[in-house]
Amino acid sequence: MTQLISLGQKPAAPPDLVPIRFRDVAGDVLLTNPWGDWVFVSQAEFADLARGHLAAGSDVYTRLAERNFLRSKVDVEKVAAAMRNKKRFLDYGPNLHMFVVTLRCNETCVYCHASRAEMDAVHTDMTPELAEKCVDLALQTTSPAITIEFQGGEPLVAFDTVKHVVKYALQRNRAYGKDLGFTMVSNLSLMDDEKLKFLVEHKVQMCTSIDGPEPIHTKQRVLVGGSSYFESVKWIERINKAYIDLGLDPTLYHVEALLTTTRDALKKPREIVDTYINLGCRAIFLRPVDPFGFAEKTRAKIEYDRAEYREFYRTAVEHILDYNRRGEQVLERYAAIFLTKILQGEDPNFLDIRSPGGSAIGALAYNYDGKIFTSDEGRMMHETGDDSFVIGDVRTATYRGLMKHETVRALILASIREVQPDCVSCTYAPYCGVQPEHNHRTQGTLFGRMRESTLCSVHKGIQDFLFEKLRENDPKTVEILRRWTTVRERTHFVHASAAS
Amino acid sequence: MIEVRFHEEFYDGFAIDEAVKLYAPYANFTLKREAGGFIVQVEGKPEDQGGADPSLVAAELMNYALGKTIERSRAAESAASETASAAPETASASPGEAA
Amino acid sequence: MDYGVSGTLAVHTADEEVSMSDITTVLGEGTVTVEFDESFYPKDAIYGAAYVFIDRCYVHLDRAGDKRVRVTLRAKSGKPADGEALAGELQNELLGQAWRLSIAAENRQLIESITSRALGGAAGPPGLDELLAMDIDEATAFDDPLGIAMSWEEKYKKKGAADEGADAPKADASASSDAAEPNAAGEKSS
Repeated sequence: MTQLISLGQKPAAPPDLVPIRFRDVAGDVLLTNPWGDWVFVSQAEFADLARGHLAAGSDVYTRLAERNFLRSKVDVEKVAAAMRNKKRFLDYGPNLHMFVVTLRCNETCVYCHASRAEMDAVHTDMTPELAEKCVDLALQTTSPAITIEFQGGEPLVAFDTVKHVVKYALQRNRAYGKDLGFTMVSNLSLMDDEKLKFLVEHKVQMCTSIDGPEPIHTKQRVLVGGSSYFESVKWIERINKAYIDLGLDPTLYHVEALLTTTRDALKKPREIVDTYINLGCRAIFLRPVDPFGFAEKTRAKIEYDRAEYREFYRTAVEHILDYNRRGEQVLERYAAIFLTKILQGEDPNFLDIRSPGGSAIGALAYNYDGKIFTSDEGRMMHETGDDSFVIGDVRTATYRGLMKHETVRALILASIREVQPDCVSCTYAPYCGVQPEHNHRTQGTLFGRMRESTLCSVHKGIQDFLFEKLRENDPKTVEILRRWTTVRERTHFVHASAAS
Repeated sequence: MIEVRFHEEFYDGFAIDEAVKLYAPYANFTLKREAGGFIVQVEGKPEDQGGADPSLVAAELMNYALGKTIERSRAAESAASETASAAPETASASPGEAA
Repeated sequence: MDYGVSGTLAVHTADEEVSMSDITTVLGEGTVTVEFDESFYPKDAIYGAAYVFIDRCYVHLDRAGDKRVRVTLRAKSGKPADGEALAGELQNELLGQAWRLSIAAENRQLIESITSRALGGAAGPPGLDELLAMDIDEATAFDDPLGIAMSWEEKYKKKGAADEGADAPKADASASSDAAEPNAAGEKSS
């Protein structure tokens, strides 16, 4: 909170100043404008601004003018073009299509109950016929590029369905000519040489979970008759080697791993970073545990105060920065998403941190039984008895019917930052995003109350940290942070369009 | 007998009617109109005729009537804004926009 | 106890009712009643706030006197019944809903523009599949939702002129909302 400034008069902004939002960061005041430019001013300079004083030619005047904070200096055409470019994701429909090919899973995780079934629950496998209908629907999207993501459960359990989807989608896409990609989120423990051969040959990008050093991972992800950690690590190494054998750059092409930060993980920020780097990962996503995958009674056991998470995040990212200072190129994903908006003025289209959010209009989730959801979170809530985010069934749905569904409309309205109390006056509004499903799950309302939202707390904490770094303005650190915003496309994984 | 009063400024009469019809299998209802609102009297039915605890039925009916009232008020709003939201789509389909 | 609404809100126990400031809260066994001045909260905000509790509580709205509204929450069995927390949450939700409505009113144009762009971009123009899925019978066989049978002038230029004739408004309706018409077919078939 910005400290109270004794003005001695009614606040009056200089007439040339554009609308601003402000926040104390590291002793100075951060100002942002509605189109995402930012500038730091000192407390004294801020007090002057609040009194309406702004001398032309002063240092603060120059800084404000350079950053589009003065009406008379704003290049309207340029700003409008940049705004349109940032929102270009609105011109297309969903590009991410998540296929839950089975709920069966051979691992038992402390934070995942809603999204798994026992290995004998074959009724939770997606049939090839339904899978084809999912592909047909996914290809209807207005997006010129689509990614089909195999999820579960454990998708390797239903590998025949995975293979069928890949082959069918490639064949069907000949008529659509979209840039088509496949990813698989797997614990890897059911991988074998034959499956790996198929996945590598068909350019299916692999993603797995690593919850930290071996003791934490093994404790949280129980694999009957084996070690979930060593199985994952073994296959990460094998897959990475397969990419090298294909002549691909290992700094770009490697298994991506995701962290779910649990209570145990909070105590080991540096060890977690070390684990990832030792596995050859170049991107670490320090995700807090989310509230979707488990029942209410489990929440008490694994949830934690987000202040602890923010502390964990700072320590871990400082450690990552130290690695970078020693020449190791590794980034933190949350930071990269926000920094791309803050430093480059680009929107990386991360679905949970954009406005409006990406539910349905950015991604769709297809359940094993053919039900279609606005997001994977919506699907998980269905598994706990809440059908709020079901928008159709692949047997009967039309693509446009889904996109114009009243729930989709509600989700868009609920995730426009400019409509949300608190967000509307938040300094970080130009860079942030809300997730209505999270609000619904944790607060019973799509719109949410940000002051009580754990997600808002995480987003604010991360942006506070990043702006503190930018305020310190250490050249080496800023250079590293800038490098994190460089997007290197993994073109090998794209089956280029070939419409006939 | 349980009596629930619905103030006409907050509850839609059609919503109350619908709620009463929905819960009719579980209790006996008497509807009354009085100045400023509606009264619903709830009386128990024998269990072998499908009856349930009248206080629970009254409470569930109350929630249903409120939910239905809110839905009806929202439906009226969204019908009014339907035309507005459809119009720009026509524009986005035009050749200039698509380019 | 300060719930951030009235600043000096007092919560009392066991059916004791005391009015403080502009909000009164009464805690009974498993119930909480909150009364407030309706001029602070539009009806839609009251509905919105009440709706948030409908899965956990039995909710009743009533008038509590001139310009005063009474919201009663009774926790459903098996749900946690912390009356003070419910009262606080209700008041926070009322404030949030009221504020949101006022922000939405101020930014209506921006919201409509973003929503329309998002829905239009995602849904795209109607396709052949959708037309094939339409129910075509004698009554609808000559509907022309895409305006295919119309001349270019009719479709884009003659809107004003079309309003004049008795038959014209029908053509004009499909011309000016050619995206909306097929949508009706899409929703019917889904």
